[in-house]
Amino acid sequence: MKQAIIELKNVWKTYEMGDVKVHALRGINLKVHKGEFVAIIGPSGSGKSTAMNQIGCLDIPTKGSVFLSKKNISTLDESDLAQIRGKKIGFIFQKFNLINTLTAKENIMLPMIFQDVPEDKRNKKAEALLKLVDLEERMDHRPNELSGGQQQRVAIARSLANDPEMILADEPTGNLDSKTGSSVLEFLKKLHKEKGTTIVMVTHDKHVAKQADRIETLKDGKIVGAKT
Amino acid sequence: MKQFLKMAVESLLHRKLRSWLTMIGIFIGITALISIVSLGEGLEVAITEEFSELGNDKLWLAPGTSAFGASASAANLTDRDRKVADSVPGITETVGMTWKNTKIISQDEEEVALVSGYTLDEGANLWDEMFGHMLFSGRWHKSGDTFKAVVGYDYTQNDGIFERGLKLFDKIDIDGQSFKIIGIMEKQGNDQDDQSIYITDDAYSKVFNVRLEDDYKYIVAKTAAGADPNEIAERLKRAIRNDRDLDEGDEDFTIQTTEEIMDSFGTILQIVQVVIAGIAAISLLVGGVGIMNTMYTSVLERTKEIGIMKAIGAKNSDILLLFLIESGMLGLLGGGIGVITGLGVAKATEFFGKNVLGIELLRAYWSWPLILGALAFAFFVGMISGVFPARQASKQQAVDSLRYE
Ligand SMILES: Nc1ncnc2c1ncn2[C@@H]1O[C@H](COP(=O)(O)OP(=O)(O)OP(=O)(O)O)[C@@H](O)[C@H]1O
Ligand SMILES: [Mg+2]
Repeated sequence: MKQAIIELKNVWKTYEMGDVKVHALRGINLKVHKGEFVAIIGPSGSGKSTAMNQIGCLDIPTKGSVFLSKKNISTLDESDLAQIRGKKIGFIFQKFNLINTLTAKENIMLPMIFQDVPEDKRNKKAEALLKLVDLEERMDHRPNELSGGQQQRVAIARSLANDPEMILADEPTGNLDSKTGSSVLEFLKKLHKEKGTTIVMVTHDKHVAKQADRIETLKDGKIVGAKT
Repeated sequence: MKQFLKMAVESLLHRKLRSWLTMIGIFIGITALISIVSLGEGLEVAITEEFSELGNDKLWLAPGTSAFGASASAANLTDRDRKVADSVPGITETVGMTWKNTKIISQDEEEVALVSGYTLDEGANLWDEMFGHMLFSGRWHKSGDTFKAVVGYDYTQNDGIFERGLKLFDKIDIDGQSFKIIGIMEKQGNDQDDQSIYITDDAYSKVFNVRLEDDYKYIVAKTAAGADPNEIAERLKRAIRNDRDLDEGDEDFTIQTTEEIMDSFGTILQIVQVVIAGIAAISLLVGGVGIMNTMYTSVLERTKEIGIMKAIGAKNSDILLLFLIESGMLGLLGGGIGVITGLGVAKATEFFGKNVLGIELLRAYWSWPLILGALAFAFFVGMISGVFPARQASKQQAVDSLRYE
């Protein structure tokens, strides 16, 4: 049997807005195995991002449990979660989410700083990653001096900084034109194929989703179908 | 840690104008602090030097109840008082002096100068002991030297007081009487001393047609070696009180030891220092509040950034440290500039005092403990001001912060 990196068991997430309760997730069950490329699709507001937050240990469920490498993380405190995220999970966001005051290289080094990676190792790794995403020449540029596609590549490099077990991408191509978007997508696919990186990706686009090994469809906070 | 420092600096540079504005309070506070401490220390050193040259074994007897500026009602200090002083056990020698502004002429140039007269007694050397070493050239008076003068340093300078500077053995006319210059004082660094002219009691009485011994401005008494000047001062006080038939507490004269004079200078200095320290404290407080305000704004603006950092592995303590360093840096930078301008202000005051006012007592003093202390303090003020904003930042929920636009 394949090894599950993350497992969501009957996960509920409920937001209370005054008297109104919004059930963003209503009992989600999901397993992601090592080396898988999973796409999550669904209409806007269906709870995709909320689900990603659970998978990425950014948030803990209102009800149910989340297991990361068999370990129940629903009970951990914030700093422990931060440590786990930093070490095991790489994030790629729709809006790139780079730190504007830092250069491309510094952005890539940031996750390593939070893991206390020594400086020379940080430098080497960041340079290798910049090379991987083909941005060596841009390493001293700040995000606002880079194009959207370049920024997303920096973000991808950053997500790989601590050799995570899993990469989470929430609509990584959503802010890019279709050509740049598909090159970013190609890159992720290549990572998956050549390095066996586990990837979970949220997308609106069915064509994009088709690139994945498996598609999970969310609707109204529930998984309504899986397609392999 | 080192990396956090770098990030803090970059973040501050990113918001240059605001960072500068925020630093103003700290900057002013530290400037005030540094300049006043610098000048205060310098003045203290200078005063101590000045008075220790005169000797700690001297008593200064003056008419009136305040040593500086005699009150009108006070009885004159006369030869009778000097004789009383001479008779007090423990007092070995006395000298009386007074001064007056008068007209002086050298080669048709007329000026007004401070002319001092002092008692010259045969075999006496108290005056010489106090002022002998202050001679640049020539000598002080000896008995029989009636119309001879010792002049301050400024008289010897061309385009100083006179167009042509005076030299030893030149003649100078004081209130219609010609004097021969027998001594020139070293530069003392203050106008009062450097523009003074000294003559004997004899000459003073003749020129001004008064009896010097009827109205001394000061009588200086030297106490015996090994004796406690304070004790002798009490004795002298009692003696003059008895002589004048006054009750204790009704003294119309003042006696101070050299140390007391120094202390009274010190007290004035301390009051000034306390006032300026107060100003410094207020502006540091305002500066601290300014930093707090800026940091709150900064935390709010960077909500998203905090979310990102938390997502990629920043612990709460990392975020806390990051913001604390940043606010500390704001304080430190403000303090650093404050130290530089503070020393600049002190130096400028020294320069102004020396070259415009002719006061050499104003000296800028500095030391590493002073500078490092001020910097550490500024950093500390910054950090403290950042505690609440930084805590707020560190407590933000990663998910919520990430959603923030
Ligand atoms: N912090 C929150 N507070 C209140 N409601 C929230 C919060 N986060 C999400 N929701 C609600 O939960 C539901 C799911 O939101 P989510 O962001 O997961 O949707 P999504 O599938 O990612 O949508 P989109 O495709 O537009 O990004 C929505 O109704 C949303 O309004
Ligand atoms: Mg979403």
